[in-house]
Amino acid sequence: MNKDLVEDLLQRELDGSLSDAEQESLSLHLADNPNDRELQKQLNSVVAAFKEVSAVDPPASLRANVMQTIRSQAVANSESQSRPKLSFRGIFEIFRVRPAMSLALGFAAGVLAVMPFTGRWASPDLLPGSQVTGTIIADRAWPSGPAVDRLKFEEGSTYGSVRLEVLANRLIVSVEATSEEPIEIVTKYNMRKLWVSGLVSREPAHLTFFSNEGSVRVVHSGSVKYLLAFDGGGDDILAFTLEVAQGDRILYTGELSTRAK
Amino acid sequence: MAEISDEKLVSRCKAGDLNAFDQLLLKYQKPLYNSCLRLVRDEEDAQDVVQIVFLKAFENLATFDTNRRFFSWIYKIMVNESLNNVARRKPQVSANEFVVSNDPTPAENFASAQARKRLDEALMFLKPETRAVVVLKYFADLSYFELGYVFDLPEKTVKSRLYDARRKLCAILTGESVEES
Repeated sequence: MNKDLVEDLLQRELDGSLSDAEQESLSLHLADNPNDRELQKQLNSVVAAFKEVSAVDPPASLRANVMQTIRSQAVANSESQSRPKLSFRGIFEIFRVRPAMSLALGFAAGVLAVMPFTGRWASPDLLPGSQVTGTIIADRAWPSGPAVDRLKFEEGSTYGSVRLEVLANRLIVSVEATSEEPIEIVTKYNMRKLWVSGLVSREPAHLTFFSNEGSVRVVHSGSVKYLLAFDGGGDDILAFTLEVAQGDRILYTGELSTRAK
Repeated sequence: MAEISDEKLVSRCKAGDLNAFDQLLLKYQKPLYNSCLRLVRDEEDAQDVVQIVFLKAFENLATFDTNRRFFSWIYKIMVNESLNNVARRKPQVSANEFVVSNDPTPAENFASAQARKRLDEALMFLKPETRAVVVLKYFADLSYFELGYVFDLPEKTVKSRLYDARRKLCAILTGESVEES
């Protein structure tokens, strides 16, 4: 019996899918081959080890967090369905710039007064070996379909990601980062609508803020995942900024605003 | 009361029934969490990843191909998210650090805790992609066909990868020297 056949039979024996004839054939082979017999014994012990391990219960907050986020989104959707959906495709101005250019673009954004909506993202110099990815997704109804208008920029190796979704009726911001040094994430918002909800990793509670204006600040080291969902679409964003910093160093800034019509 | 099929629950979700999604969540949170835990090896990370998995599943439910089985689809999302999580972190275990600890874990069944610890440590020697195949085979009980779908691999390749993984685990658990992944 060749090696491949033995391997196949041993594998299928572990899966319990050998026919009687195959089982007999394997047994005959193993009787004369102590090495393969030892291999069979070890493979069985691995499978037995898996069976010994019992499953653990997930934290109760897992289900609660997911359902609360989904229900919040559903409420926001139903409230906004009565007004026409907006399309921001092609209206966005998305930039990845150096600090000096960032300032210039700040002035440039002020000049773009004819636009009902502007977006500006700046990614200054990063720490060595860092990476920030940014994504802006527009013109997509929650919760349908794959993303469109996706832009991504990356530098260096793994650091984290910043993601922003502007939908017709929702603004969703998420930041994922990993660092031994504390990372500070500050979101300031002023929305026409009343509330914002969010999940921040390591925080047991689902966050809900009943205010149309305020800020959320998180300082965390290690691995952080930060997700905020704002009620309201593009024309409900009066002012919005996101800043990710490490010590005195700003790693990432983002700003969105709607101009008065 | 008879259990409602995943197909019906998905259909109800698509029609806007959030309670149907809650039932899917209730049904799959434990196996997903346990599989994810073996992949990311951190309870808090596993919770974060599984939360994101369910939110993504909900977000993309409209694109879900109903010819597929829901649990294969959501496991595929979980594997991708878990591997992304692992890739963002530095390797935590080296071959020299592999030890069989005798420390008891009071809150758990002693034997099971020991077995889990030993196995978890051994699993960390496998490459993340290989580890994912083993975890889904043994903790989620996926068939070779389903594993092929989750990993975008032919069934034959899945079998071969699983066999190699089992052999490597044999070597690790019996204390033989192994090539670090």
